[in-house]
Amino acid sequence: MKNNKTIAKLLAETKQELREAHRRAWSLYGAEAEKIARTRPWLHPHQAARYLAQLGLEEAKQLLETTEEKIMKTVRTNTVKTTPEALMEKLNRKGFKTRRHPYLSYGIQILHAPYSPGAAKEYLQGLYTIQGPASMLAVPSMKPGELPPRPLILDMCSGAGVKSTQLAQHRPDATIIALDINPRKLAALRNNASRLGHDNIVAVLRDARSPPIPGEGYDAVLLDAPCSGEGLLPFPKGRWPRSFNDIASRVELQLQLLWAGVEAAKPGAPILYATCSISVEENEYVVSKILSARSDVELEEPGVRAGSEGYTEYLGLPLSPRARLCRRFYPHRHRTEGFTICLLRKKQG
Amino acid sequence: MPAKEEARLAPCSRAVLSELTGLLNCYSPEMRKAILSRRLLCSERRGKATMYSFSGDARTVDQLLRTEDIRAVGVAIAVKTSRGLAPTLGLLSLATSLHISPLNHYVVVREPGATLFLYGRDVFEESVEELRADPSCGTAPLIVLDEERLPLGLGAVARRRSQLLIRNVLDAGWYLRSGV
Repeated sequence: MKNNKTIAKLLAETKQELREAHRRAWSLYGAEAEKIARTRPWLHPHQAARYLAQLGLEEAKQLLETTEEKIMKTVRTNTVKTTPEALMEKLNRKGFKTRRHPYLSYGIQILHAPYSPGAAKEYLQGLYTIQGPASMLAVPSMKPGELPPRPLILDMCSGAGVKSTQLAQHRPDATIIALDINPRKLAALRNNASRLGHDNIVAVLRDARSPPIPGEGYDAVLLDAPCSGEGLLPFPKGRWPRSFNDIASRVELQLQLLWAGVEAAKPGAPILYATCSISVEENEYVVSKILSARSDVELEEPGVRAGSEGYTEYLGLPLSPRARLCRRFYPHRHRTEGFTICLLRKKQG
Repeated sequence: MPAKEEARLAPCSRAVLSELTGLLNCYSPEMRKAILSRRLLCSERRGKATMYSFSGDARTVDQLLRTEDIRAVGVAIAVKTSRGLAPTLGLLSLATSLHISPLNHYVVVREPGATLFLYGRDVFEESVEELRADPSCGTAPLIVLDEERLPLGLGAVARRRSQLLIRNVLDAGWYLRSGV
């Protein structure tokens, strides 16, 4: 199958399109954005302008007023070692108050914790791991149960391996190649895999823009891309200003990574693209650009149907009508960290 | 793990495998069978050999070992030093994933001894619910279990003022204390 553009061409085009979109955002919402940012030193006026374009005044304010107390605290049951029921019982006996995650059967919401869930005996025994309520929806969105037997899976930016180990619990028969450019993160991945008891992960120090491609490629690709981290706005660590340029530089990297991910996938393989960002630029736009440039990939409904629909219109950016299939999670709407999930698939033949 | 250590990963020698077989057999024949059926790789550094269990595709990992800077393959299950072969926390964790409990050479610890053990403390006699130490296991450490038979770490039988004491050799609290 022939691709109509090269990645270099795509990047040049993107720069121009984003510049125009951001100019438009500023001319439409700049004055109001300045007003909103004046009382919030951690907020860049450019950021406020994008939220106004995306959500409107009332909802943008709701987003900015959402603090970490409103976000669900969740852990992920390690289903190869225990069941969510047994784990909840153990935690409840220790004075924790728990209930099921609203969207995922093996996710557990911690309503009250007498001490940090990361210090409990059960955590050290690898019965669960700590993971954000929306972040834990990325792996099931990839439909891992539909992959062929003994699949080869690529986790492009694995970090400490929270999603690599989740893949491993869904598919203990898989071989998971986890890449990261940070050796400290890979050391953490090694410890997490040991604690959780998954021995099917290979950690490779590598820039994911040029992943190793064994044989014919991967049966599935997970790209939890480095992003602006705007989904973490409710948390103190997520409250720092992001200019239009900050977003544009992330988009450039995300496009390169997603392009490489598609290249590495076998025909028919799912490619899960996710970010802990709510920006349209880093999500629907990145995916739309790849769809427009490559004829060998399509977008489909993710395996988890929760969240809000993706955007198909925003500041005049060329977004695919199919981008509505992406799923968005917002702190103020869903009580999760901000997160976006899009499922692509490499076409057969 | 220091850079490039994994690049020296290779199939384990017959001698090391035979020692591992003895160690696993000491805890349970089922554990021996399950672990030995996986792909076992060894790396050696400064006189210390580490053994890894890997259940993924062997050909893929062989291919990657030739070209990539690999930082971890599977789970480290045992370490051989001049003092002998010792199991790691990874072996205990993997055994739990495979739903295998030790049948021999273990100690079951009650609360609050179990929690204190995870803080690096030794276990006093009053917290010991069951002890099955097998002298034929030689220097192999005991697997320390909680009341639900889930592993907490490794220990060794000792005596203090004629009282039984389970000395802390390695505990799962290390995952937190290591700071990684």
